[in-house]
Amino acid sequence: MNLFQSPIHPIRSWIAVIPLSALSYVLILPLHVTGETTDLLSRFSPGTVALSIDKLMQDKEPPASSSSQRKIDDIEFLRRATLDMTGRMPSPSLMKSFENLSQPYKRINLIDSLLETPEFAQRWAQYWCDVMLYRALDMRANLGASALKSWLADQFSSNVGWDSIARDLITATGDIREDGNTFLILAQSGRAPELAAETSRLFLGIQIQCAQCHDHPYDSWKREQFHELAAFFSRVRIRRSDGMPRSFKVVSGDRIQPRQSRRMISPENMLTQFDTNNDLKLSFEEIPRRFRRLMTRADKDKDNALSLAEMNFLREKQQRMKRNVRRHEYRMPNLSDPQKQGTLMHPVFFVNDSSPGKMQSDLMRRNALADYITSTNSFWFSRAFVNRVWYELMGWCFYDPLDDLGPDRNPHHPAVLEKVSEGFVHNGFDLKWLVKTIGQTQAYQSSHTSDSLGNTPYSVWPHRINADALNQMLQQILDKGRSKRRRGKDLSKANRQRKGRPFREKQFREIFGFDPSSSNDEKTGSIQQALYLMNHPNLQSRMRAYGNTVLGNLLQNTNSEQLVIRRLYRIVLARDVTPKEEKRCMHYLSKSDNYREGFEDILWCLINSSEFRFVH
Amino acid sequence: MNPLAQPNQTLFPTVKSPRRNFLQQSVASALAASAISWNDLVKGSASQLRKQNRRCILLWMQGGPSQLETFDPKPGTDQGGPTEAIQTSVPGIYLAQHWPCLSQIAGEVAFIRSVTNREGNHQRARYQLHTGYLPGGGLKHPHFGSVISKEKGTSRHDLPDFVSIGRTLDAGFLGTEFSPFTLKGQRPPENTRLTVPEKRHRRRLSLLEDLETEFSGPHSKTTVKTHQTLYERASRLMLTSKLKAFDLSNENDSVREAYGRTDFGQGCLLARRLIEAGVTFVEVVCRGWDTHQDNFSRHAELAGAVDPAFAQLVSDLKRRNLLDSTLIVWMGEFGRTPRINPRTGRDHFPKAFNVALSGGGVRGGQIIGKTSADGMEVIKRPVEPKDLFCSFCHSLKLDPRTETMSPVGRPIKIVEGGTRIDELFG
Repeated sequence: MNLFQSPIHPIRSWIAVIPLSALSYVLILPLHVTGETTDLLSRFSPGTVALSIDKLMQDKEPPASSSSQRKIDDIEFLRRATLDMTGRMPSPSLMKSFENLSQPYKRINLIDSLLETPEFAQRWAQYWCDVMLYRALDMRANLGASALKSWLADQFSSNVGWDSIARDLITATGDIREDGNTFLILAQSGRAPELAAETSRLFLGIQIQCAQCHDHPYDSWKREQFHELAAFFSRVRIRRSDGMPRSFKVVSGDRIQPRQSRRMISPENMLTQFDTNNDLKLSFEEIPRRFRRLMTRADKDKDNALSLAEMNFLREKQQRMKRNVRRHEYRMPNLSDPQKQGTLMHPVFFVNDSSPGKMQSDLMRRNALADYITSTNSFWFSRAFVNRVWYELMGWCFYDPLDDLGPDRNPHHPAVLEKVSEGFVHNGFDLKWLVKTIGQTQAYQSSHTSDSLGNTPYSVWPHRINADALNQMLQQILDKGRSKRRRGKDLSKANRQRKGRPFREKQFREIFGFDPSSSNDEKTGSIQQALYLMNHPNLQSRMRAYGNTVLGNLLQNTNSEQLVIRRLYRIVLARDVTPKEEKRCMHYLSKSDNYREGFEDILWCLINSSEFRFVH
Repeated sequence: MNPLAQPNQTLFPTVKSPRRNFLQQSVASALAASAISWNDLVKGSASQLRKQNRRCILLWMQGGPSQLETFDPKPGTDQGGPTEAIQTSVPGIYLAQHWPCLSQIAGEVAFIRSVTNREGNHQRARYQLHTGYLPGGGLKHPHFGSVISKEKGTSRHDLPDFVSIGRTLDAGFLGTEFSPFTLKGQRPPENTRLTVPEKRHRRRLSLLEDLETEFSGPHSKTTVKTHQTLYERASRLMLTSKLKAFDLSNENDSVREAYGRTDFGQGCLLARRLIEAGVTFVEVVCRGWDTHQDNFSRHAELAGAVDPAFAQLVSDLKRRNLLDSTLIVWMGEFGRTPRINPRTGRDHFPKAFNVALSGGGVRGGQIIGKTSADGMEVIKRPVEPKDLFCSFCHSLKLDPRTETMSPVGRPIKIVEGGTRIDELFG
């Protein structure tokens, strides 16, 4: 019935080979409009759901407020959709062909094509990587990030449902550099309480960890319930992997008896059996070969002989270690006396009190938890995801803060959330379906015009562009003219990387990165960001108006100053210059001693503008 | 009398979370336009705090220094190893032999020998001793320096409020605005050199300001305004004469020698210059204390760098009359096992370790707490990390119970629990 239920749709897999850069050519083709028409009939098709979202929102909205929003034009829509969905800027050629296209469904077709680009999968893989990485408690998480990203990108591009992805993340085992789904566990160091808190936050949007130490002050969760959730993860372990480069693996710690299961003969027996000269000590010669290793471990006074006391000491130590191994069952810490052994907890899922039973193996527990979490009638699982994706695209979310859905919270537009979640579940928790549906709403295609908030917005709220997208944008804009001329030669990968040095990912992320789960007010700029964009030498050299730079090439091929300004606005801000801006720029140029420098300054201003940093 | 004696928590006893209510948030957003944050409004005390001119330098010993090779030597015992103790300028106080310079100025330093904790994992302990909280709770807690720069920093300064020399934690839920301005080594900060003449830079800025007015949309006025403030601050930093504070070549060679020509030594000198120039919080990181093997030779080497720098920093600040208003904290994430392992190393030991404090109203020349003869237990005046943070707050004239609303809608105190160590300030 539904286009999205088969994991790989034949048309889609064919389209998936088209990179974003070639999109302007694709758009000219009449894309699967036929698919769209049958799609429209289905109750849970993106089109139908988008329509009902709009209806639900308009019903709630008093007509007066409609004046504070307007439908955006094609070119604004193009920048918004391309940035939101793929983390890239639309190229001027794509802008041109999109504008000139006269198709009834061209926005829908644009979204469809964007969804099938590799950049789409990469952008959302990066998003989920950041969501987990910014809350990682373990620095080793960085070792697993690239495996996670490529794994997630594969999942998203082949329409694997979020339920299946969540299950893989919860039940993962394997090497952190190879099996990307081990990332979640790695990021929380495989520690049961932290994993409980993070799984609950990520997949359910429930902040249960406050219940770690006390009964939840606002919510109905009890302290026991948190620790029962933690008990699902009690047997997860992280171990060193063999070989190089240094790596780790997530394993199930099910074995009750550890390696040292070989029992030690009691120290008294050792003495009576082997102490041939009756000096109450075992010398090296007296001990049978198989016990000689003991000597190095137990001989505390270094007299090359073992006394009864020394052997007893070792034995106690070993028994202590054995007791520790018993920790594969989870215990809730004793708050009044943390030194004491806590209460033994068995896994129970706090939402509906399901339990896999006692003393189950690690994977049985984690699979049971994955069942409970991803169950299709789970109220939280779909909502938490919808809420996040909605926030990424619309800039505001139903539940604010993003990670706190309940139980006693009141979302904005509950009916809309309900509707979207229903469709999302019905379409196999497919990210592409969700993005497509939101993208088709009138809300996504509108802008809020008034500065005051008034009612809950029924349009897109400006949101800050993340570090990776910004990095890509700068490369796209400033390296544009350069790569063209060099195409075909000396663009080996190493060379490109060296050329791209100012945009080095790690350094850039350190300066521009933010936690994608944070609210809009927390995604602030910083002095370092301003300094970077104003002064970074390699950025500056790319903004020069001489030689093989974007501006140098523009000036060489264009003979009107107005035209250069118009092109610059299109390239950097992906929109047309307003008459007022054009006038101001022309005035600036006339005052400049050197018109090339004047253009450099204009480009510099556009890159340093706040508009450049936002999806709006 | 401490002006903070009346904590302001009572102002919001029943507000579950302002963020949870969209209406209230709208109010907050509307207020943001007039450059007052919701938090400021709720607390109303931020400006009061800023008047106190207090600063802090954190000397962070990454890896966990051994208490037995620093300020709690146990010569002549199995646990003490070959480390000798030396007499300091204060009768009755002995330090390990590697700290001759510090011994000279022991009268200015308080040594806490009884810090006790349970966290023996580097990352978790590092987090805990930078934020006052254990990781978890679905939150990323802010670096203490970020908290200080939020509460005590002034945006009127040309320099950032919080500078870190070496990598450290970030501002957590306080956001990038309060993140440390991180320097790599003692070089001046990156991207501060003008790439065009100053006149042209100013022209650029005014063009930018004009063009920004066309950026329309909801919140755009606020967005543009904050953006502008940031650019102003960044430009001030680039153009300020205080940028010279970052340039160590302005110091006499003799001064640079006194701090020691090591990364850490020069980092401390830079910290002193920054504090003088008005920076509120500086962290200087010294790596390499994780001595699972060759503990003794490596501690001798590391102390060789830290000892002269620490001592010089204290006496230099004192000479400049800045010591009373500047708290210096020397600490690492934990101590090291009294037992010496077969590779002549020491392993992680959070149960009893040392922290040294100087300046900021701390009474020097004293030892706080005591460990057992074998170093395995604290036997007198145990001090927990949260007690330390309460004491830092006291020295910096901050109420440790000051709350900030976290993104999960839960008010978070600067320090939860703990009491300040009164002896420090007697």
